[in-house]
Amino acid sequence: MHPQETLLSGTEAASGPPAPAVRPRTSSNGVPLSGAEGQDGPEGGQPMDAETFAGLSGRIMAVMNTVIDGKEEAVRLALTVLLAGGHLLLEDVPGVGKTLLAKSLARTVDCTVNRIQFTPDLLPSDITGVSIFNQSSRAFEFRPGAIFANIVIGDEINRASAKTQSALLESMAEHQVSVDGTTYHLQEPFMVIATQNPIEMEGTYPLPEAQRDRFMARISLGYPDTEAELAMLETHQSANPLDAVEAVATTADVAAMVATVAAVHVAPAVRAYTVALGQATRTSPELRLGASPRALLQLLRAAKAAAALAGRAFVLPDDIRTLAVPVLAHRLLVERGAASAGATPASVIGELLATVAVPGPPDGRAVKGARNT
Amino acid sequence: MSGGRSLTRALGEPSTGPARWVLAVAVFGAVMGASLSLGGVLANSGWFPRASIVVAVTLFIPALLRRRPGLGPFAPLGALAGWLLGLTLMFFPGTAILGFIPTTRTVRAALDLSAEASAVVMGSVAPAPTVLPMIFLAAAGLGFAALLIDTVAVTVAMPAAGALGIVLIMLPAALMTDKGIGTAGFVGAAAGYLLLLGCCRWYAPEGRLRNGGNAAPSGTLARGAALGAAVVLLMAIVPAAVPGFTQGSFPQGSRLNGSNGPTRLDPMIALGSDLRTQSSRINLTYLSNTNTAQYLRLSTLEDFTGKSWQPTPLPGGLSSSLDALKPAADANAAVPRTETITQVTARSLDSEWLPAPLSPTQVRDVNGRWLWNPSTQTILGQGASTEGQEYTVRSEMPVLTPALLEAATLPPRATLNPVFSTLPNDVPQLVRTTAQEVAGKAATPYKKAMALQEYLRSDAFSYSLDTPAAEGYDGSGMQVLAEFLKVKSGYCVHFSAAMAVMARELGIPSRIAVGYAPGAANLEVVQRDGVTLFGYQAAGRDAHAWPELYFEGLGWVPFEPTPSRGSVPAYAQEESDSGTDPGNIPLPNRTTAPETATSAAPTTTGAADDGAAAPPTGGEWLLRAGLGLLVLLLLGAPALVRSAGRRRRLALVRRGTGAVAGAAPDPGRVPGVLAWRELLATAIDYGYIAEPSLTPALHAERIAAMLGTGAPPGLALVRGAYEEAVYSNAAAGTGRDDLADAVETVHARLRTRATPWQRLRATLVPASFFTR
Repeated sequence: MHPQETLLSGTEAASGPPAPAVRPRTSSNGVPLSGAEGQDGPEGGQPMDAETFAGLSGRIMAVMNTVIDGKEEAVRLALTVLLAGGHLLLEDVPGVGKTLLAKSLARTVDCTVNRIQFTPDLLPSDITGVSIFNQSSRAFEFRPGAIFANIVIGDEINRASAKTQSALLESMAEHQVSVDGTTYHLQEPFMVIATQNPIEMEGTYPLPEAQRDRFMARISLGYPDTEAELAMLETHQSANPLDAVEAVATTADVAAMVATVAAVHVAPAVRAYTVALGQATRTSPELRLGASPRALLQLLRAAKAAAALAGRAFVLPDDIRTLAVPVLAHRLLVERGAASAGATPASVIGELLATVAVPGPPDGRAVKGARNT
Repeated sequence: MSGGRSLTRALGEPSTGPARWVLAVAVFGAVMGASLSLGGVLANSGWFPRASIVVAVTLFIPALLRRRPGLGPFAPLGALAGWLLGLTLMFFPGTAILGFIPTTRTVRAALDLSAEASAVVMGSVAPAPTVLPMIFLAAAGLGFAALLIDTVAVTVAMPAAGALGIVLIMLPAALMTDKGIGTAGFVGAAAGYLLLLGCCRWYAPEGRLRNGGNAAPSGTLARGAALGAAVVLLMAIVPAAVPGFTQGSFPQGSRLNGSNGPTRLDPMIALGSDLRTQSSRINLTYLSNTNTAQYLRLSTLEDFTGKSWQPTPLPGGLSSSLDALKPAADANAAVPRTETITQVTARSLDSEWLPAPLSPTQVRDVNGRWLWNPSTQTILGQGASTEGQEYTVRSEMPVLTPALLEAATLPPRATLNPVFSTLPNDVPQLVRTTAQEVAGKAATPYKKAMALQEYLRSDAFSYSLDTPAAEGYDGSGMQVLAEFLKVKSGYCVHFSAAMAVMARELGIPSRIAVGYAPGAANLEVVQRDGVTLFGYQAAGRDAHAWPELYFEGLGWVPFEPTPSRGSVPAYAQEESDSGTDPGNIPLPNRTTAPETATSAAPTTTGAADDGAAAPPTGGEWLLRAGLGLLVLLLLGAPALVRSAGRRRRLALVRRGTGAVAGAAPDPGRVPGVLAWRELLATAIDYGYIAEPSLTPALHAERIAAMLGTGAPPGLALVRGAYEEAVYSNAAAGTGRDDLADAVETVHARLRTRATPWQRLRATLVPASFFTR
């Protein structure tokens, strides 16, 4: 539910010429938030018809798949997160293509891309921007940081200090940056793709739980299979396939796709299923921390995007099931005892999915299957 | 949710609080409610207190065990222990340690008591006397039913299937009594069943339906009600509809006549029951213008071709007017005749056959619709009963003399129904040789018949009700007959059958008449229309069977081969007694000389000694057939309900919900949902286990795996329609033939891929029917 505004609306000229694509607004400014369109629809985006949507999303995934071999699921998930208006956390050992995935997604969409290499000495202002005193105009002037882009790639986010991380996380949640009392809106679509090395690697600052909660989904890429790895060695030998990537969608396209996703129907039964699943994570004795309401909201949003990508105008419980692990796993904490017994968040979610009944028609009569066993 | 916990839950453990007690009370209520039906089986309610204590103890122990969830699965063992304990406590405290711990003596005493009980059951018609063995039987049966219901409804958590136990309780009443289950029994059983369903729904389902699982009390109730209704309906319909059930060996079958008439037993059965109890209850009285008592016939057995003797089915086109009866043209018109008037008052006799003397010519004042069968000279009611009837029969018999019979040497007329002379191929050699030896050089049919009767009445044979059963040849088959001729001991059925079969062996057509041997005079004398009528009465112990042989020119002639029973007709008495004077006509009729009457009188009083008839075997047969039928009905009920449900669903799928434009259709009844439910239920019938946590797509995937390669596309079609109906905002209520077809295709596919055993199970015990 991020307030969205048109690119130019609410621009405040108080602090000099704003950087391109930056939409600052003083905090005292009461400019109305974005319109009646709905919470998710970026303004300007009109829902497109299913065919256009399918064509466009198919092209985006096809192009990304030429860059990253054998990772169709990760690619689809990345696009799902983009269309659901969330942020993506890529977690894996170095060298499996995390950055490549982030970059290829950014390249396929014709939009501004910034990349931040997180290091221990990175400062929050490097991300958000800084106000500099302009001698000639004798006024403070805002220099936007690296966050001001449609897609921000945060490489090795866990190498930065907690302070810097939180600066990024705040802007992720709010879609805005506050510097010296002035609030600057980020452009839409806005998506952070952060990559992270597994926590037990040396020289890292683990992301706090609250911050992990701000990522809609986490993907582990994993090693490619033999075939894909051979193909990769072949294609990456001569040239970087990224160079060959051409944008297949504009920001307007993406906005329209996001609007399409927002129009996907969610039946009461699916909402009930989501809530039942969330409650199961909270009552499970194997989990110390269950899924937050925000987590469930994001799960449902992601499910809508997944449904749209599957060519459906409504969400199925299957969408929830497929996304449960990527969307929920990184937010859950396993009890120590269960962890030592080998339970992982993903395994616990798997168990819960096997117990939570899938609701049927909302007439209270038959739970599909449940009564018929 | 650990595996252990969900297992316990899956076993329907009510775990905490008052639930287990409430459930125990519910089962108790169901059992005792259904037990009200026993009111008609046992003479009074003396059994009730002890039986209820046994049932209570049987249920108490499992309820106690369920306090600890881990012990839940062992509740049936607890119930068994409670059952034994309760029975010991109530019936054999003297043989038990501390009055309730059974010992071997207890077991022996229990076996003795059950043997006595079975003797009482076999030896009485309902209502049985409420003696200790019967109380024991009732208590044991009810306790066992309680055990069964408790196990099925609570331990296995299938309360709807508890109906099995309840039906078990109602069985005796349905099978044995005149009044059937009775209103009280039925209402009690239904109330108890609903109580059981309700309580199980209320207290036990928590563990069964997990998060998000919607409760469906209406479904459970409907299912239970459907099961009950189906059973009752089948019990009412099937016996009436199945050919051969109302004819054949058991003309009355075990048909439930509902409210308009009691279930009446086949005359042979009634005869046997009455004989074995040596009942002195007066079944009927009659006034007759003869001064000797009469043989009153109910029905005949003439078909010997099968395993047992059976009546022939009723021919068509029978007259229902009894005003003028025309016997088949059996008797030569030249033979002098004598007319007998018999005015019968059927008191406690409740039979579908109208008692009448042989060869009636007119029946008057009888209520209801009765059919005259000229071939057997019997009168069969169509939904009518003799109970309380008072009617007059005129009958006409040739005045038979030995000389006349001696002269009847012509072979039987060709038009005589061959059923009267046909013998099965497996007539034992002993029977054949005996017949030939006995007949010896006898030249005429009459001589042969007399030789047979003489042989059977000779000292070599003894009359006994018990020997056949003890020697293991009780029954009505041909082998039994051979055994009877070897052991030479039996009762009227054996004697009459032996004579009838051997007569056929010698070329004389024969049949067995079933009815009442001449009873005793009751000293009543009535003058009516200028005719003096003498009163007689026939009690239950007078039930009898005797052979009738056919003599060309004279018709059917009764004989009396059973020693010490009935009265030997004058024409059939041995020559040393009366045969010397062929001119003397000692036939019982009003012209009979007084001396004949005195000669017949002593024999009538001996009637009480004749005993049992065929029926121990017939009774068992009937019971077995009834039980078998009931089992069949019970087996069939789920299949019937299930297939009716399938048809209804598919019809709705094809027709659609017919929702008015603008109004949203009921989301639970749109074609997509119904089709999917039916498909899933079908798959479940064929062994699919529908985990509630699976989505439609996953179900479809697994069902497709069941269907093998190349699963019909209908599966995806139905799944898609269901998903659209439930999860999209565009559920349509319009009829979908394609969905119904797809479901049928999948069904057919499942059927062809299933093993015969699976097919049978899917049809008879559809798993989707037995749901929680």
